[in-house]
Amino acid sequence: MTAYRAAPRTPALLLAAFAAAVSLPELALTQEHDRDTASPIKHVIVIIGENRSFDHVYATYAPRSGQRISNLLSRGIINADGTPGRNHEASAQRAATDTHRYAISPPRAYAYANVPPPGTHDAPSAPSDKKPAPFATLAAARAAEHDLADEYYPLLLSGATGLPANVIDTRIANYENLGAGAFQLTPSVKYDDYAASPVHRFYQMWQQSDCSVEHATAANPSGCRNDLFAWVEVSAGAGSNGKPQPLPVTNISTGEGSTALEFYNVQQGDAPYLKQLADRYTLSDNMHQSVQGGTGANHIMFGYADAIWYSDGHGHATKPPANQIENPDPMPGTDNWYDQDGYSGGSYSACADPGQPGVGSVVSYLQSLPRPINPRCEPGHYYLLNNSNPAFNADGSPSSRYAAITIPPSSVRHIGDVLMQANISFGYFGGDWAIYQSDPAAANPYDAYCSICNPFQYASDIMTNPALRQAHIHDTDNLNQDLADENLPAVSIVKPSMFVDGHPASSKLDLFEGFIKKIIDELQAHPRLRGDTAIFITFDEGGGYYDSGYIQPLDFFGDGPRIPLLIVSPYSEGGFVNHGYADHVSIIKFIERNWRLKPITARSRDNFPNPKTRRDNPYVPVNTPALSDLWDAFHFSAAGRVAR
Amino acid sequence: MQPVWQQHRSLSSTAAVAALLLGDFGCARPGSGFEGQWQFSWQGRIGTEQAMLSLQPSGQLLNGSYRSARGSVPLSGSVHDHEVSFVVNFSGPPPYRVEFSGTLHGNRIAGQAQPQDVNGRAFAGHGGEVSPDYYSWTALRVGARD
Repeated sequence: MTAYRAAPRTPALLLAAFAAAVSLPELALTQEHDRDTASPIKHVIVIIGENRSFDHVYATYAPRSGQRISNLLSRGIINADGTPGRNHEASAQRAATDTHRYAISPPRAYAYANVPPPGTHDAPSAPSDKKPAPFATLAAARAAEHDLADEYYPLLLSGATGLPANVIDTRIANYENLGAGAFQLTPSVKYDDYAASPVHRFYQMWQQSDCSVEHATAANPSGCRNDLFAWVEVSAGAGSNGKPQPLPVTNISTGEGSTALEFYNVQQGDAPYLKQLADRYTLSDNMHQSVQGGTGANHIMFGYADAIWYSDGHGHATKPPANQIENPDPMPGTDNWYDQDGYSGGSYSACADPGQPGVGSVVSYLQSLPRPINPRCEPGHYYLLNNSNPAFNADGSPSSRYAAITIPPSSVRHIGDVLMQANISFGYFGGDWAIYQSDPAAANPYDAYCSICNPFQYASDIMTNPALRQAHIHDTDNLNQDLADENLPAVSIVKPSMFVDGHPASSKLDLFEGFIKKIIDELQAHPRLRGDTAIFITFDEGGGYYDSGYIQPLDFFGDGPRIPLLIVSPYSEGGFVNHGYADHVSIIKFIERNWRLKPITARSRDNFPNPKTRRDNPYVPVNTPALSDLWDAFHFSAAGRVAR
Repeated sequence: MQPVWQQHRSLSSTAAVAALLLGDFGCARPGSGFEGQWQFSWQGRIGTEQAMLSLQPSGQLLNGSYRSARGSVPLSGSVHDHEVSFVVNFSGPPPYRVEFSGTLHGNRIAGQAQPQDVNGRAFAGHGGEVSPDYYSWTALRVGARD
């Protein structure tokens, strides 16, 4: 049984000494505030998968009678069988040109008659024990992964592409004649197959969204056209890392092609468990990734309702090394090949300074909107926009001794601080945390722990305090045991290992289904716990997959495209579709409202009001920037149930 | 248990003492350039793991140990002229095996590491980030200058 406690933050030293002196189970007594809630919900579980946009998963989802939804099918972009619909042009992609200075809405070059053939990028070629691939044996798969519903384990062995990396994915039917926009990935590629991962980095995603006030309409006041997904994939890809562009430049140079335009079809059997949950519970069709970009920045925004920044490790903003400063301006002589950006290149921007590379184009756009948006950037602060190793190893030692690209310790206040102050118990449950604790470099090939996903691993106050680390960071094995023991903390944040997080190329969506099914099955077996628990199932970001939904600019960092959100609880049953504008911070707002907590800081996004919308368009807040607290996704009373 | 940094420091100290006792200051021993203590580093998915290698060739056979913050485990393999290959069986959990191969250049060995009998995908991290087929390693003879 895991010991949870709601630890008062002060006096920290006294607490640490106390924790060291007594066994942790004794500290679990301070949980009485857990049940002091504004709703019948006493436990929140947040499960965060990886890299799938809303339309990528729910493109053809048709809700029950009386409910409406905004997706590729409802917009007429596709038909129920996945073929182009009467309004397919709405997803049409265009090529642009950007040869001098980064622009989030560069000028048009030409329209695609057919989007470039998708690539295999780094999707695994064959099952192999020696090269990156699915597991070769079930025994190895079971040894490595503990968190799947039993019937899903064989899926850890299947789905290799049979193709080399970085070539055209010839499994896809008609790959040279896919049309100008979104296309169905299946059935020529099976739902259980691995496939490439599109680019999903900060400046690339702003550019893919193609936002300009010149495109704004009443229904789309932010003017984001979402029509540069394919072009950014083939021109910039996942970044230069400061290196020259490989020649010759072709549509497959980055290995991706137009992977971003792929979608699944739930009406033809894809994502069956995610469809089943939507049929039974509540699905949001207006949930968004909170940062334009990737895994790290979005998990940070979830944990802090804000971005964090480079510092001296003691709370003072400083300038990062030159090669870690983003420069998305094109290299001379190239078309959109970023000067400094990538997983070993740029990660930070000083976004209070419009003269910094890339910054001016985003800020100009935000300030050109009818209701100008504050970038919320402090002078002299270099904000983390893309993945960087968190400051600490599992034992609280500095991770910079192992990893070169590491953000210094953060002093920014996070949701854990709010919960600790209020004596509300919480836990972060990371897949493979137990292995990672003795393997900070992740040299162990079974170690699929995602260090950049744990928002608390960036934070000095948690990571330098052994008692707090032990109390609040756990392996997913602990979650499964705690469900069995009916001993959940008030707030549980759950992150699968990278084997089963659903990330394309390194995982599959069906494996993520198997992960969440195990948790839900366990919860169903405990009616008392089920009765007061809400599970929020979402993704960190859309992974670079195309989405047709409205994007509300909130600040310099985002929002980004829509992602799925399912709300599973006895108070969200009925197959409803919730349209309130939401992002990851909306879940934080729900937690704060439920436990009567104040926002994390005076500037964090959880201060934004709930959206007000016009009757004819529930998707677009007229009081922007605004974020739903998702309260209206529940029916906490009989009257509420009727109203819905 | 000691903090990781203390373990590294004590490992380094032990290695330095061993090097002094052996008089091993970068001179290759007759018959085998591999024998002795080596400061070893190899790339994992997140970062670089440091370890101390003890190599004891006997003809073309190789035995020794791999010591890191995660403990000490035996290694075995073979040497042939300037080429070396060896396997380390890590205790995990779960147990796993990594094969190292490399080439000697004076007081330095450089080569590649590849996990065996497990899914190497775990090394890759998130798609699109880092996904080499193998990982590099280097070793510097204790007492020698890089």
